[in-house]
Amino acid sequence: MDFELTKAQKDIKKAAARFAKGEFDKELAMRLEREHAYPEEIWRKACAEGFVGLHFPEEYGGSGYGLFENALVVEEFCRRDSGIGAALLTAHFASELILHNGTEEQKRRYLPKVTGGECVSAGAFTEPMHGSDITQMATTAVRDGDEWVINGVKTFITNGGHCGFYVVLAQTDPEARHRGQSTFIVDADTPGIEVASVGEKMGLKMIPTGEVTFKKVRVPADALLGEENKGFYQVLRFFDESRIEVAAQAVGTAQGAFDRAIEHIKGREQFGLKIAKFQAIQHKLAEMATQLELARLIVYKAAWLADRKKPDTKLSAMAKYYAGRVASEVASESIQLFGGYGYITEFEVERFYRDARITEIYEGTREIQKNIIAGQVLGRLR
Amino acid sequence: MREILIVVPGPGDEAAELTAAARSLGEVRVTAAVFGADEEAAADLAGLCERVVVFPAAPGGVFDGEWAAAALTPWIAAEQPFLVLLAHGNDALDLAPLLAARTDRPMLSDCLEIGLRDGRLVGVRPLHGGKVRARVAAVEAAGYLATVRPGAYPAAAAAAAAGQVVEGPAPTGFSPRREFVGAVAAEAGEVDITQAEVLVAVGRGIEEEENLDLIRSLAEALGAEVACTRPIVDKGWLEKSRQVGTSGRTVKPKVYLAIGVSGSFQHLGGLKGSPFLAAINQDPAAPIFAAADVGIVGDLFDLVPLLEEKIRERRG
Amino acid sequence: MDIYVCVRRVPDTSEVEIEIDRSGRALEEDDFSWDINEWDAYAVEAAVQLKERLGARVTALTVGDEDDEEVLRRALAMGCDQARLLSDDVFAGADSWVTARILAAAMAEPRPDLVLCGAVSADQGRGQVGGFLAGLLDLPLVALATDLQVEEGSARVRHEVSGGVEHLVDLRLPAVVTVQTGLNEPRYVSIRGIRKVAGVEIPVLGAADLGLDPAELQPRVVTEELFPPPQGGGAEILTGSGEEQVERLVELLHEHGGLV
Ligand SMILES: Cc1cc2nc3c(=O)[nH]c(=O)nc-3n(C[C@H](O)[C@H](O)[C@H](O)COP(=O)(O)OP(=O)(O)OC[C@H]3O[C@@H](n4cnc5c(N)ncnc54)[C@H](O)[C@@H]3O)c2cc1C
Ligand SMILES: Cc1cc2nc3c(=O)[nH]c(=O)nc-3n(C[C@H](O)[C@H](O)[C@H](O)COP(=O)(O)OP(=O)(O)OC[C@H]3O[C@@H](n4cnc5c(N)ncnc54)[C@H](O)[C@@H]3O)c2cc1C
Repeated sequence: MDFELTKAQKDIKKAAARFAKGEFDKELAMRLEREHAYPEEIWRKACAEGFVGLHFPEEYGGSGYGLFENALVVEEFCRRDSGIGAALLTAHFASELILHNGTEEQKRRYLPKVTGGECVSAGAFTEPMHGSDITQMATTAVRDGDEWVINGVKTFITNGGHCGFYVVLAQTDPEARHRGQSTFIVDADTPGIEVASVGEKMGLKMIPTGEVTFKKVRVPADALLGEENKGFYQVLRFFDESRIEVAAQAVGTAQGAFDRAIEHIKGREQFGLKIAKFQAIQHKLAEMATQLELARLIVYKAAWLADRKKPDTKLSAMAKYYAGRVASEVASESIQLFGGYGYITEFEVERFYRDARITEIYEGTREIQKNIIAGQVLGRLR
Repeated sequence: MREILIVVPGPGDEAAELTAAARSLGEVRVTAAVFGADEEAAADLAGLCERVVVFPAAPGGVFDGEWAAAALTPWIAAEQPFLVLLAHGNDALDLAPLLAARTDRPMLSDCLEIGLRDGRLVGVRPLHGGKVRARVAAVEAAGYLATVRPGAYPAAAAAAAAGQVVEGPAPTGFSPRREFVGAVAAEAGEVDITQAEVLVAVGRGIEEEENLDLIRSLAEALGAEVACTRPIVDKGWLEKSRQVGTSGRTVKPKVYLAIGVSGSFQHLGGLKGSPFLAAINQDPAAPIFAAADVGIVGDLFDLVPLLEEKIRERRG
Repeated sequence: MDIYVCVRRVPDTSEVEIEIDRSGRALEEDDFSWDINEWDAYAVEAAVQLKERLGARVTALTVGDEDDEEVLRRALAMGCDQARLLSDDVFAGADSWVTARILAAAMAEPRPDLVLCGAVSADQGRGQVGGFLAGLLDLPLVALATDLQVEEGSARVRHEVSGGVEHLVDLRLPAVVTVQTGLNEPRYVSIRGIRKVAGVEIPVLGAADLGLDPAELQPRVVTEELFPPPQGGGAEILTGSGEEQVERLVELLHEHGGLV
């Protein structure tokens, strides 16, 4: 047992904090959010410095680090800015499916683009009628000679319309439910793809989220990722890992809101005293600090296990469930500590709150995480 | 009587302040070392101290730490002054530690006060950008060297009795390893802040380049020019000609409004003519408040827009 | 060409309240975050750029303890070739003189062609180490470099002198140059850089390794006491609501001719 970060981990954490301090900018974040514009330049620089996909092997432009190190970076980025942090975190979304299931050729073709800042990636699982329950997809992929033909609608797709390629979950055997699903890599410029807006979002406003329609989209046979009809299982395994990253996003976002709140209460005076001197405020703070610490610990443990080739579905779900809850609560209480100012965009905590809320929704809602945890605890019930 | 050598660029504030610092140690005999001074300058210096040693100017006629160290080292070895004093400025960084090493003397740097205790040199110096001070003491030695912060001692008045002026020898066997090529002309810049009556100076507290608009807009409301600290120039946010300080411009406005400026002595060193100095800084311990006439402790991002609004209101 | 760059880890005290510890000679360090001294980051960048341009070998040095090793790893991650942690119990309490002596001893083999230091450190602000090194190594010194061009055996340096002026000087190498902020744009530490140095064991050299006799390492200056700067005598601090303060400030600015 050792709770100390390694030297390299400390260096990474510091490098990420320094990069975020140097590049992220409150005014810029507010403008990007207002204009729904992607933090293009920062993303490019983050790729150049090796922050995006640092957990990919070196041959694909990564640095061969693990989820743990990635979680440290995500945490530091989101702490500085919940929106820009999330944009950088999701820049490689679903690329891990290629890393884990792709052929050498697929990996070499796609992963360096993502780490090198050529394009961002997207994962298309959710459909209008299939959200929490993805055991049956309406999107189908049908073999036609040397090609697959994909038809269907995917919704809430992060980086939809902005990415270089999609990893798409489709039904290849419509009768076999989750045993008949496969994943495909679909280049974003393939004919037949249309992207529409999902409407104005509560948070993550810098990141495009699209409804992506696949109309007779033809992809070559080698666009199939891994084994046919194993897609569902690939995605579950992917979620075991990606949930840890979302949980790290949650911890960073919570910490960022908390930092700002602390600074505020140390300066703000009411009734002739700094409000930090009131015990009711101090107790609130103590609870927030404790929640944060617990959330961080569970995220670190889940990441640590995953990096030791012992990914733990239950722990990943716990990490995302708990850290997501903490993010929402801590960010919300941070607004409270700011009083009226907390309700004003300028003071950032409301944005952190809006960005925090997604961590309880995407990649499995809070309820779904609890289902997973309970399922793992109970085992098969007779 | 203790012999104290002050190394100065010529007559002026620096020499007068160093003389005052030297005399604060009690009965002392002050010798001023100067490079390439003409008769008049030497005579002015002689009004301050007991002796003036005029060393030949370095090739190129400018200050050169290598040359100065080569000239002063044998002189110090021969004369054994108790203390060598320099003003803590850019030239001192080029010479003082080198000279201390060559003459094997303990050195106190950037002193706000110097003193003696049991015959040893002691001093007070600022740490952490002036947020804390240290009492320091040199170990026992035959002689000491110190640099004194400009402005720490009020200039000594010139005495009627003129000291003696002598010539110092050129360094023997000096083969230059460092050669003066030329002075770099300062960039003219779009505005001349040295002529401005009212300056709004912005420091690192502004955090981001984009936020400079707040300051520009305030300056416009005041009818002032924008000046800044060095870090703002280092980041390339404003041009060098707007930097106030020992390595920037020397300004003498009537009113100086410092925003998010900590008040380092290098910055304030460029502020002359005792303007009305107002400061906005969120850190009540910022050294700027020690120098300012009036201050507001608070967040500039709240205060600056409010200030601009009130100014515009007042102007109608 | 062998370049040595001397670096230090310093606390960032710009945004923390400073508290003096019980010994009265040091600060409470709990709230500090540490990083490379700002000036030293420019020195490292300058060294690495010279290496990239001219193929020099760059060695980063620091005198400190194991906590200070991180500043060397940072220098390595930025592109320095090797690093040495100069650490020994007998180095404790080193003043800048002793620090310079230790650094000089670490430059015995190979001899430097160029030594780069930050001009001052943000915490101590003494500005001594570079000059001491020049004296100890008997090398020429230029302080406060704002530009540095190196060609075979010589360097052209632009540097700040008193009076807000800059001079150009030519230096015959070997030499010591202390670096002023703004000389370049220090690069970020990239993940790849960190990766590259993660496995590097940084040698730790003590007094014996450096051939230093502990008796010679007596500090020449000791800190006896830290104390807060005297209060009062400074600005009239405005009180009241933000609005009232600002109104009063406008009044005062106006009185002194600040509204032109
Ligand atoms: C900003 C954003 C970005 C997204 N990015 C992506 C992306 O890149 N790729 C992608 O594929 N998807 C993405 N999603 C979709 C996201 O993963 C889904 O929204 C989420 O999985 C929930 O699905 P749903 O919206 O259909 O809600 P539903 O499944 O309809 O759920 C509605 C409510 O019912 C609850 N519920 C459902 N089933 C159960 C149950 N069995 N027991 C208890 N409660 C239950 C849920 O917890 C929730 O509270 C994104 C969503 C958003 C908002
Ligand atoms: C040889 C040499 C020459 C130099 N020459 C010069 C020179 O010519 N000119 C010069 O300026 N510097 C010069 N310097 C640098 C000088 O030492 C200081 O580092 C510099 O002046 C500090 O600039 P600053 O006050 O902007 O930054 P900092 O010292 O970082 O101060 C920023 C201040 O902003 C305050 N602040 C932060 N956020 C807020 C907020 N939201 N609201 C209100 N206040 C806030 C902080 O409390 C802090 O006091 C020189 C240094 C050396 C070594």
